Amino acid sequence: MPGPSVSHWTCAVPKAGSSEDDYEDASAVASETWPVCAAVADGATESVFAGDWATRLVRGVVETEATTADAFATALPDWRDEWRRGRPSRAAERPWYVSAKVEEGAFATVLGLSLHADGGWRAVSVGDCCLFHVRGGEVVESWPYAAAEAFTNRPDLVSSRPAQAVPAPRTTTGTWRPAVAAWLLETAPSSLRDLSEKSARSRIATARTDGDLRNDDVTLLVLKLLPPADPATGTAHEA
Amino acid sequence: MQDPFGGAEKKGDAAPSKARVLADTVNRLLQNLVLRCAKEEGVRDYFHVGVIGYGERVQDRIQPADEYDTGTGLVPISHLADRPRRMEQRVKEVNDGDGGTTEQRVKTPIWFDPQAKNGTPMCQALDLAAQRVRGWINEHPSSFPPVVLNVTDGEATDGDPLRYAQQLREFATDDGEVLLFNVHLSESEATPVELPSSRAEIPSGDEYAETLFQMSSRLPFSMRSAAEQEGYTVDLDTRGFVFNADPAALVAFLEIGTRPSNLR
Repeated sequence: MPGPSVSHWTCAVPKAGSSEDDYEDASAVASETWPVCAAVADGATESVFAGDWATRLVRGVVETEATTADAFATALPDWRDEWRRGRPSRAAERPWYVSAKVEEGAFATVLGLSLHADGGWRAVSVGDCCLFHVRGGEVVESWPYAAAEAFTNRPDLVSSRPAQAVPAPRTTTGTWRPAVAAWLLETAPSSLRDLSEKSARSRIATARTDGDLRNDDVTLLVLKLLPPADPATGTAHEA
Repeated sequence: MQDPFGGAEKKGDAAPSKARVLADTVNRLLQNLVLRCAKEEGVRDYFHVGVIGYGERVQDRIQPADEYDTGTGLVPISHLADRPRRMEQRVKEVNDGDGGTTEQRVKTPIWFDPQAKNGTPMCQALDLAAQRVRGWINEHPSSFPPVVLNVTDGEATDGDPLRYAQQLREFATDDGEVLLFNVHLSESEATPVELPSSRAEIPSGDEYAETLFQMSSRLPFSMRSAAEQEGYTVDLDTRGFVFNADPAALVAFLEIGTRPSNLR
């Protein structure tokens, strides 16, 4: 199995009028081996250490491939423990408002994605980060939201506090390397008319090499309906 | 703005005096605002704040240090955060993580103590607020419009406050008119009211409540949207008016970013 061939870039911009240090989102990618994992998180403005917590979450999702609800729920206590240990307890030195906010914990939304060698992908989400699956310049799916109106300033959030319940993560799955039917639908199904068995083999081989088609058994059964034979000539014409 | 109500608190009273309720309300509002802006490195100045007292006389109650004096009577919220008059230990109920609550002692900032009062010169107070608002708008013409919270027992003793309220609300930034919200702390036993949309929701027979309702601005779109997300039922006529209820919602609807819904 060849290793993944993935390129990626990240555009990280703080709020207008804020410094780079005020940036409280986070992202992470692990693309050297299968599965390729990526995550983004958005630290909540109204909590302290939100950027740190967002960073801990994306690292955790990517390192543990926590893109199912179970895997996420299992890994979260460890992330919380580690995050808390990383915050030195200097309560006496802190202003009253920082102490109060530390007690409340840090909050962030998070979305994790894993791409698997078999052509499938899965994603997990708490909050309003959004995944766009784009193929050939078209948005195949946006998840978990498809409309701008769905976004509010009160998204579900993952808290750093051990006692804080976490909203049930949403999950979804899909295929990034489509099965043959999906592949054919996307690559001009009208050309089926002219497809021969030989040319089909050739196109399937090319599509697999290019990563456009999932590496799976393929059965393409082509039926051509012919019109009734012309009684005068005894010949039929292809429909 | 705060109207200190009548009478200093008597020791041994079972119920807190109105003066105490008022001071607690203002302190809690300020604490709430500070905490919304607090980050690990300090308090971000998402708000500028001023307090006008109208007890014995109408005056600014926050005296900024020279370096913070903007000349508008308002100070960046970080200035206020770092200078409470004192910290008090208060008992607060918090979630125990098991579905119940437990008591926790928390340090609470106190900026204002209960004050004796002599009349309720609300018109003068609204007039001073208008001056402060005008000065601030001159320096911040594109900002979200100033919000004036008038915390009172409702009875103006120096004229018709409705006219002064209308004048105050006529000032505007590019983003909208000044918002005047009223918090009526009444001795009435009537059911508390939050964010009414019509006079019919106001306790009948309370003329002060009715006046304060009329004085109150309608919630702008952004605040209606935030209110709906918090579970309130609002419409185009919903007013920034609270009768005998916690006014925290009125400042919670001021959006500064992603907000954990379980906080404050």
